[in-house]
Amino acid sequence: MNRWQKIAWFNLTITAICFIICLLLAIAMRWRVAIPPTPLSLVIIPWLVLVAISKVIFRKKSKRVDFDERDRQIHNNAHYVGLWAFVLSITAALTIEAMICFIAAGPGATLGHPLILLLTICAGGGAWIAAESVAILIHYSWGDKNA
Amino acid sequence: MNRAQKNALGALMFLLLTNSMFAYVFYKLLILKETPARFLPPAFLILLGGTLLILLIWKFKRQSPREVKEDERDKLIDYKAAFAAFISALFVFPIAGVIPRLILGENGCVPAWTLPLINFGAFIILTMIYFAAILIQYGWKSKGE
Repeated sequence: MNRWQKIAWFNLTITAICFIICLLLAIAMRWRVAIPPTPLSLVIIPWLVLVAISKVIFRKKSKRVDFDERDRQIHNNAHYVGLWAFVLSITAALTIEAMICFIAAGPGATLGHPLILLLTICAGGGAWIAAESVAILIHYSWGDKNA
Repeated sequence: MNRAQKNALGALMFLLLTNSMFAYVFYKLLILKETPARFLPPAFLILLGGTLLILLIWKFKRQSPREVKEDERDKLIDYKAAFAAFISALFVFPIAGVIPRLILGENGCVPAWTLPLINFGAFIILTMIYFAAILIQYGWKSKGE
């Protein structure tokens, strides 16, 4: 498994864990446990930090070439897939949120807390990182040693 | 000017025209609380229809019978333009998410009708960036060969 695969697995795991925590918090909020949306941002900040420092955690081994033309192409494709996922997930989430609001409370419906909008964008960021990681792993055949 | 440039320029003109109309109507109806001038919708429709017709003729009329539809360079330009549009989404959506919070404050309520508006606005901005990126890569004034 090369360095980029390790980073992709790490990012995917971190994103999945944060997604599960956010889901549990959202369920807790639904059941009227006194949790404002702010703790959700406390999950997002460590996630952002961990994803940002993933390249530092998995450092390049000295004197080894770990990024060639093929890796560049794989990363370009993965960035493209990730950005597609980002735009599509946010668009879908905003549409679904609007539809739920309209169905539940009619034309005068409100979204509730303004932070929810920002959290939707952050969820799109999660979809971006997850899709990019999966694309990288697929290009490298998941965990193939010859990749 | 090649086919992709014509397409991009046409789409950009069309989007700018439509957006300016929407902005005017939005400003008149929601901010000034006035009805827009009566002659405006038919005048706008005529202008839009005329522009569309010119653009369609312009787009489908080939400069020469040997003109190819798309080559490798065009595909690369298209790919880069789409990439630029997607990267701009990384700024457009977070800004759209922060603005309601800044306007409404910590305890305000975001109206649900703003959500499709954010989607629509982001779509327009990303599309405009996409077509502008195509034009920039071909070099606005050059013939694109």
